[in-house]
Amino acid sequence: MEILSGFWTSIESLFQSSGLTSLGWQNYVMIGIAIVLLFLAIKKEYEPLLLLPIAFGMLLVNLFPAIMAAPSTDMVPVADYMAQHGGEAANYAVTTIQGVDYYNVPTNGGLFYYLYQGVKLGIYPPLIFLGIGAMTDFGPLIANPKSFILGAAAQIGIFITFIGAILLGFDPKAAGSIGIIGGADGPTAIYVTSILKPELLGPIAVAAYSYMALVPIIQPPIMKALTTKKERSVVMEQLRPVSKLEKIMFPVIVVILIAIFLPDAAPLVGMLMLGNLFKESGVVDRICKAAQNELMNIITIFLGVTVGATATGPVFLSPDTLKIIVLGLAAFCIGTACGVLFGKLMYIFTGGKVNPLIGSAGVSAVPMAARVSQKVGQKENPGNFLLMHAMGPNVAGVIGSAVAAGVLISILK
Amino acid sequence: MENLNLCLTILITGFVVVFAVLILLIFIIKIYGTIVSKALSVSQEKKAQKAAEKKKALEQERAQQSKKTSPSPAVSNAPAPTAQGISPEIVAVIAAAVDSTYGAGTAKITSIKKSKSSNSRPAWGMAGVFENTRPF
Repeated sequence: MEILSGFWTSIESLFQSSGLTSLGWQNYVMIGIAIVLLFLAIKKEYEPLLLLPIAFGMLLVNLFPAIMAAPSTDMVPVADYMAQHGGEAANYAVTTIQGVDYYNVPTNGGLFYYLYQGVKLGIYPPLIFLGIGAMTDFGPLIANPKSFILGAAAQIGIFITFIGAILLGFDPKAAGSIGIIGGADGPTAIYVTSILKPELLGPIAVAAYSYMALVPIIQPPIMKALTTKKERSVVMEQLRPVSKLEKIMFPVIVVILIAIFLPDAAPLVGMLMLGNLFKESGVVDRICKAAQNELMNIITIFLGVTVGATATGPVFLSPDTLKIIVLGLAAFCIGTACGVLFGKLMYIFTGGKVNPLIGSAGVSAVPMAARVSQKVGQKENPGNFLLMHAMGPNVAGVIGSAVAAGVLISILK
Repeated sequence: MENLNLCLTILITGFVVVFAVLILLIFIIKIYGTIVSKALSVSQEKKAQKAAEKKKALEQERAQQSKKTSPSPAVSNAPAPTAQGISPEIVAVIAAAVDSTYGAGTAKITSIKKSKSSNSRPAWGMAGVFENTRPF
């Protein structure tokens, strides 16, 4: 009988500590959203490298919120503690409340809490930029530096969305974090948000990566609406070959210039250019490969799961998230439209030598946005290869969004 | 009103700074691009001159050594190897490997140099060491 009662008590305590009693309805909704995102990542392959860990982090934190819990201090009466430990005293700090001594016993935080420090302290995004730099060929941009204008034009969406967010009632720091979604650069969005408004990290990261995954769906209608058939059919001249020396000098010159004029953008641009110097110098092959593969993959896992883990039910399921998703889409669309419109200007000023479709690639999202320019251009003229021309604005967009991030941080911090 | 001011400040500052920095980069890249390409073309001309002189000297040397064997297309374009004390048999083997990799007659060997690696361990030995020490 005693065994049966003990068994029942154990089952009861297990049930009490299970998620069935502690989880709220918001957690269950978030579990559903996480499963949908997992489906999109696995079945539809929408940015799976990031969406999958983000979705799983979201799933895990809503099943077991303590995985993201910060370390805390338990107040244990000294007498109780000593009774449990065979009369041995401990070295913990003692607090006396109403004549009773309590030990301040520290408890560890959850696993994701510690991994999340890399996001919170702004460590992961620059490391991701290191890997991106080690993989990026700035050759098309060096061959045609005018692409920088398209990379800058596509950042206008960030600042216009900032105004939209203010009008919708967000405070300036939140508005800056929301606007940066228009840069279509996940690490930059996370970096800016972690500095300006860490509370919004979950919805902003999910919105940024979702829209980056949806680039092939969002951009083509805007590109077609703003260009004529004749403009879309323009075949651009072949780019000049770029020497190794130019490629080596590029990261050094860019980092000197940006770090001097805009120090707040230095961590992102600096690491991007360091990665690129690894690649172009050709003398640190091992380090370059580590930055491209092992480091990048490890940071991607940590960044993905911990950003996903910020999307807990009560935080994520709020009207603000809906507003962020709408504003993020607006930022993306405006950025694309501005890029294409500046592309049209270049088409006019060069006497029809620039295909305006490459302007949409200015919204970072490397290399997906450039691929979209190529696909849309090829639909009009199957013999037209715009990919390398679009890569110029595309990589210029990465630098442009980092500069825009620096502007937002320096003004709003 | 305060928010409107901030909005306009952000919009104008962002627009101006992003464009200014990137336009500055355009000019800098154009300037150094021009300098680098000019410097490279000068050095290439010098290299071409040197190579032509070297080729002439080697042709004279070859004319003195009458060889019976007729080299493969890849070897015929390899002036440096004999000058560096590499036996013709080794050159022939390398040329055959190049021909089989890139297709006959499509690649040229311009020079063959002995590796200056200080590591005296043979390649298979190195592979064995890597295989055994990789887990540590």
